[in-house]
Amino acid sequence: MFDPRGDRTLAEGGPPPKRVRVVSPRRDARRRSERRPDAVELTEQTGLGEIYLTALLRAQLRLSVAILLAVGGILVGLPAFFLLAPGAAAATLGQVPVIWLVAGVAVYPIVLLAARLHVRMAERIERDFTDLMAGR
Amino acid sequence: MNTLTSGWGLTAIILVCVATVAVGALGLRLSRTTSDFYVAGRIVTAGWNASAISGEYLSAASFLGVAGIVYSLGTHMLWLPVGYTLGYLVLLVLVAAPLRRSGAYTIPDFAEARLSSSRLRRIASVLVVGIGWLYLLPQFQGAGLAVQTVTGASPAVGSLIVALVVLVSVAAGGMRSITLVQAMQYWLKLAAIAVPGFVLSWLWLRGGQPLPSVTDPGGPFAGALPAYPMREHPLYATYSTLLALCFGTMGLPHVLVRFYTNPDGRAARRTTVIVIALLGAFYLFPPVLGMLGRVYLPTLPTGTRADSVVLLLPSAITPGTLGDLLSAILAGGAFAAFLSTASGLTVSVAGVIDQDLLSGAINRRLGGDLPRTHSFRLASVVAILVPYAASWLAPGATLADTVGMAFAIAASTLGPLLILGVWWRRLSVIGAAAGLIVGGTLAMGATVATLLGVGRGSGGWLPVLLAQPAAWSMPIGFTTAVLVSLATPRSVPVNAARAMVRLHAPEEVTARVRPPAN
Repeated sequence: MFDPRGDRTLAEGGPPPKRVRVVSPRRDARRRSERRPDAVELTEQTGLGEIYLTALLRAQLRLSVAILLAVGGILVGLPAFFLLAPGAAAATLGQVPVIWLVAGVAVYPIVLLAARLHVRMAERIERDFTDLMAGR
Repeated sequence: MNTLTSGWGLTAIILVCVATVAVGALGLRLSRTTSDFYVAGRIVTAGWNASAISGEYLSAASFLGVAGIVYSLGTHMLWLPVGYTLGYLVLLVLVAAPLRRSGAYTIPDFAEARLSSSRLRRIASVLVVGIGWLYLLPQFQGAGLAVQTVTGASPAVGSLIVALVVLVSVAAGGMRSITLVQAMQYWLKLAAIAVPGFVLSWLWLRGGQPLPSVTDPGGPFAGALPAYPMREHPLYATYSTLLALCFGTMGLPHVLVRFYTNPDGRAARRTTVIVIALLGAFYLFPPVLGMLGRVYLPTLPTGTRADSVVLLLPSAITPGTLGDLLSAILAGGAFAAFLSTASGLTVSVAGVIDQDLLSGAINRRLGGDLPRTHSFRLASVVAILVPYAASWLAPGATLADTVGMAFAIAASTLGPLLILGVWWRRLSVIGAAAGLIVGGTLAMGATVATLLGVGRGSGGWLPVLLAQPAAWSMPIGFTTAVLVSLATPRSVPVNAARAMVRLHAPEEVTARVRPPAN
């Protein structure tokens, strides 16, 4: 029997010593045998990780810019329209000014719809990304 | 205004203050450790959190200022509340989820986590404190105005009440109590503006007074009342303000903190959508009150600010008990607005002062003996005292204008920092710092010049450009950050790609790499 301490007396008689397990303090360190998770490639700036990250970033940014342009396009035009066309600013629907219905009421549901659309699409992009990382 | 009004109005104000402190004390019983103190232990659900974000966001400028500015300057100012809401859409699509995933609690935290530079963190801290103070200023002024309108007391009384209540609830309860308080404040504010809004509109419809659409005592409703000078170049001013609101909201000190309370990036997005709905619902009402002001209060007594039109309106429409009651409700709601925004700002500003300025100095002197909660309390005193003192000195810009300046500075500095930090890997430390310094100097310079009255009354472009700087200072700050970053590729942090993964990859993916530590 191999005893690292060379203490022969223990091997011959008396109670066996309590086993001491020596472990690394880095309990969260990756085990060598474990399969290398794909996400590690993401963080370690490997060529593949770079491609994944760029694709994710690009998809999300494209979505964000599209939403901003759509909402911005509507909203950039309106103040100019009402300011440059005094007739439109003074127009009323029944008793209520049209500018009120547009800027005071109708704008808010539009913004809310854009927000909901963005959340749905952004989550879809993330789901696809997660599936991609898990499926490989 | 008769004594009855002052009695009811005062009662409403006292009730709101007592409720705020009481709910704060309730939260205090729940908050135990420093991390509870700061971020509510992250057990807040999306609905509560969205109410809290909205409650904190709807400030004096929203409750009194929007109606005041629509009343005095006309329907073109309807874009102002739209901009206040749009800021959250921009925040949602550009930074909401990544900011939450960054794990940053404050903007300086984000700057340091993303760019690994403590110097950049220091610059961001100074900006956060400056913007926070500028935003606190109109809260104190609005409170003074409300108390003055309701009771006739000196404006100093109202400011002092807000300062004390905020100090007690922030220093005692920290963030958890504040989350409860803020959520309650949103619904309080919505009720306090919606009920008078409906009642007064109904009285107006029944009374059959014509809408001031084309001609009214002061001219077309689209334009300004004669007592308030029409602004030069209104189209530029509108676009510049919208830009400041869109890109400034994400940079406000008290906004990011709330996103940290969400459990993950997805929840942060969903919370923001609810916030947009809640804000939209609220903003239906202030312009209606402004419009009714045009019908019933074609001129205000001399020396009265347009911001107080909301509080004067009920008595003008229906003198007597009903009018007094509605006035009291509005005064209570306005006070809720000052308290909630001021508390949120104070927590954030105090957090930054504590973490980045006070703690280090104190620990060096005392050898680390002072508990964190004590230094946070000390920081909140500093955070309140400075803007409170400034509210005595500052000249009377309208509430919406002062808040607009805070937005413009945020949009020229912290907004670009967040956007570039989230989306652009090649942002360098030097580039980010240059962007903050250039954008900040320009926007703050314009703010100071406006407050000092540079070019006022001269007509032409100069005062307009200075009063609404975002349209030029934000692109300059943004471009500076980009160009300097391109010129200094060596100061791009080595861990930029790792930081970007953390910001953008869904939690399920990053969790596989790193088990949830600490």
